[in-house]
Amino acid sequence: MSTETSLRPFVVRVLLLLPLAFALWYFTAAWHLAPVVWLSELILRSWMPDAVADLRLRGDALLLVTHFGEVGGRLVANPPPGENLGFLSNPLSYSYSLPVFAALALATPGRRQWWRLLAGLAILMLVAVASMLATLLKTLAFDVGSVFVAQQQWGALARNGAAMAYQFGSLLLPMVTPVVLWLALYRGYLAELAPGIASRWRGAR
Amino acid sequence: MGRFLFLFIFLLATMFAIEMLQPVQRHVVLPWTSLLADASGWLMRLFDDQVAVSGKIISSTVKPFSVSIEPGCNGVEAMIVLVAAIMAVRAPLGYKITGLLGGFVAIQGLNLVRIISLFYLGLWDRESFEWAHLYVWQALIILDALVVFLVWARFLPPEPGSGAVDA
Repeated sequence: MSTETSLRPFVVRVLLLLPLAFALWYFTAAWHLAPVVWLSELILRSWMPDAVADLRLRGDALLLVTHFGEVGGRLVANPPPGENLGFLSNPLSYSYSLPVFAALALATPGRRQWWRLLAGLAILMLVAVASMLATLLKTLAFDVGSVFVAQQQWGALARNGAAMAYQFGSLLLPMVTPVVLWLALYRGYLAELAPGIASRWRGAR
Repeated sequence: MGRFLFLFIFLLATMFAIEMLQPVQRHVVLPWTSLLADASGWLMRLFDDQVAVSGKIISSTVKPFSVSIEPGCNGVEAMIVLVAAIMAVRAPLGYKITGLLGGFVAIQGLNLVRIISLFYLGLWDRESFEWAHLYVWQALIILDALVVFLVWARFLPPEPGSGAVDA
């Protein structure tokens, strides 16, 4: 008798849950983005208070207000009041890992352990903070550009670091983290799905 | 599992950093992306002669609409994730090569579907295009990589001496 668990029902459940998870994520964006924006603003304004004036949500968009502005056709630091440069971006583009993880977690059979789902979502929100910070740093370093770089006394290394962090934060982290978290938090189910791999992980201790 | 996760993250970060290097972008990623655009264009022209391809850009010849295949849309990142996952598992080399080849076909095959569907979605409705492009297809491609990994992992025999037995 084979005790091997079939993969197909799991995949079907994930695909059925995914639209629901996406809909919930999209319509509650203001709520789940709020703590991410709050923490990002706290970090950015503590780190570079002379560059970042404000960070807030405007609908689903993220508005970064800087301490830079255009005066006489030139970008300067500390412009006259009301002349601050602002940048809009889409924070949902790096937080889609939440519905992906939720669909994977809810599709996993067995006793419902809500702490795993909640822990995974909490970690993903911290990852979203990292992605948001990387995206905002890229905006400051490359869209504000030389004025910001001069103000912060950044060298080529720091600029390259910001570019790299942006690529990691916007492309790789949202894609990889839900899957890695699911593998780590639901490894019991993974052992049922693929006993061969479970024995290798046990043997690798 | 700790060893797997450590190796997986290390390989992932290393390969992704290598992918970002300008020479790799110029000589590998960009030609691959252009090839992908050509393949998508060829497939689309089988049933639609109003499509033109130039480099990594696919355009409609009758409507002012084009799509440019950019990083994140060429399947390279999903392949890197799969390669890192398979390489991080202790398994015979033959299994790894089979998994990588199967994964390449599955990910790039679905990626062609993504590009073609996004092109027609963009022609039809810009908002639906943005939604599918930014969120839905990103999720489906990484789920595709996960399913390939799980299917591959199911074929792995228990490691000799691990104490695991076939049921």
